[in-house]
Amino acid sequence: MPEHYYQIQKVNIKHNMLPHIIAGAVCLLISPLMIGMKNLDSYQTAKVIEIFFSLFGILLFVPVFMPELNKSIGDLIASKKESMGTLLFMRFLTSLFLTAAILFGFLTALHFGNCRFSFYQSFYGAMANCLFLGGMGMLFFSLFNHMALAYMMPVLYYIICYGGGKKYLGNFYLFSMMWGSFQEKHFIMAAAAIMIFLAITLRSRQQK
Amino acid sequence: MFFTLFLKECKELLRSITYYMFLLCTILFYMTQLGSFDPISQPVKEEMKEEPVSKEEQAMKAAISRLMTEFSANSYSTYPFGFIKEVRLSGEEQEQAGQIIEKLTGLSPEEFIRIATDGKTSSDAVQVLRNISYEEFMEEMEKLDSLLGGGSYYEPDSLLGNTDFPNTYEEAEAEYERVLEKDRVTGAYGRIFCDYMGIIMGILPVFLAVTRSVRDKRAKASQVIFAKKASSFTIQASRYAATLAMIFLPLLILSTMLNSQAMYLAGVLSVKGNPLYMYEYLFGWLMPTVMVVLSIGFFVTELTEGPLAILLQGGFWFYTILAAQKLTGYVGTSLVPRFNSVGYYSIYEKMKPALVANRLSYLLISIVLFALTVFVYEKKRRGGLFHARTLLSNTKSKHKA
Repeated sequence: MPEHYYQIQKVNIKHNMLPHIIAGAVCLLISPLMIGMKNLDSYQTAKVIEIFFSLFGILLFVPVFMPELNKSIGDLIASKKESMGTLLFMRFLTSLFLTAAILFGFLTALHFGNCRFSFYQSFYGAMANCLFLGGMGMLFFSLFNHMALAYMMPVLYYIICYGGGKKYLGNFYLFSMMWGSFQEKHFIMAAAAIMIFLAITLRSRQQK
Repeated sequence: MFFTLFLKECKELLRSITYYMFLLCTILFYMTQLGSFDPISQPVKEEMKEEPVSKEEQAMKAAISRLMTEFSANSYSTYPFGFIKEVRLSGEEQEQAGQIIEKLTGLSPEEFIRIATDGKTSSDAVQVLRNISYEEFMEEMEKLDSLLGGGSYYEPDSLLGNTDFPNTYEEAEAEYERVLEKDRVTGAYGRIFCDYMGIIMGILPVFLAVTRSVRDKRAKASQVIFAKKASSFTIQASRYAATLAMIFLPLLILSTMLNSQAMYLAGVLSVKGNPLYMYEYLFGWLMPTVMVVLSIGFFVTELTEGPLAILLQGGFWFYTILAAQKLTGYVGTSLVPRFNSVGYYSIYEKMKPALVANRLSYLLISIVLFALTVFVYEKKRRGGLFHARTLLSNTKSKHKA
């Protein structure tokens, strides 16, 4: 990785992501106190992954666009040689890597806790949910340049799923693995990719 | 001055995209959860059990039956935060659990395990000693629950919770009569409205509070407002009251829709419905939830000017929703008391003292937090404690950007 990309990641972590990473780490550290992570059957494991872990997506992806909320910082960044799109994509990659690393650790703990689940499917399913919720937040952030709204929409989507949205949301229902179905994750992953692409494209155009 | 500012704040909210998203989500949630009216109906004799079994007897039987499986495997399922958590007791703790079993059944732990694992286990295989009263039994269950770290099946409230619902036709009929007489039908719908809407009101208001609090900063209007004549209390109180009023406006409309259906049903059931019951629940039950969420949002955002309030309230909401041990008649310290059933006035009557204490506590917390918001705002205005205008930005970063 070229040196300046590494610098972008470093500055992003230090100045933007750190409070969110700390919040995520705290959630992760206290999770064994709240949630059983041993000897869970497939339903219970899916419940932990989908209901609990999905929220990390909101926590780690929504802040990708946060620095430009301060217009002075936005103007300064826009004046730099590096294109805005590349910069935002690099920030997104930081969040992606962090989420994947935390998820990997979480699933490994479940694995050693003798829980019954498919590692690959759970990893893919949880990442799809995180990217979907995070991508929705990013999209609303770029559409309205509004932090509260960026958190609000994925939280509401989550609540709708939690409140029995299965019959209304079809293939975009977030907690399908709990019901033994996996195919929805492909739709969720595809929708997440579209939302993230649109969000980064729109945001980089706005900041030009 | 206050009223003028109040109206301005209401107009500000009407110009905010967050408010329209709030409205959309509130209406959508209402439609999906309460859209299809669930009418109260008289119990049908053929659908109910014949033999009456006392609630106490049911609870004790259920506990012993469960213990047979869990004690013999030394594997207890608990739900401290809504998620299952398997608990294994240490040697000494398992011994203490054995002593509880011996006290209640007269069987040694070895004998108890032998009966439980001989393949002929039935819920009647082991009986509670006759000299053990129901109160003594529950005391022992409480000890067992605390050995398990709480949230277990043996928690007295949880054991009894399963027996709160009417078991026989006579009980169901009596319960039905109580709903007609005490609830006048509309009260029963007031509770279900507060239950469902409480779920989203435990989180949505924080977005409006954060939006309002950061708007001045984004518009760079803080300095102008700081210099105005109005007191910090008037400015903050008008914002708070306007947000509260605008949140309650759709809730009033939606509850009136449900109320009119309940009033019509009361007429069909030949009862004189009381239209005010719905609003008593709305303001007594739901308002403290909304107020405390708003107070957290205003206070934390005034202090930090970032998204921290959303994260904190999100965590609090997640905990409060998942920690509910039962969906009908749960209060505890929850921000969102649960009553996910239409009717069952006797369950409500039982939870009422705890509910009143809970709601008053949250009301008090919200007032204290609001007072703190005014204090922080005043300090920022005077350039006192927080020179850099936010608490967190007082600590200057040493990093080179």
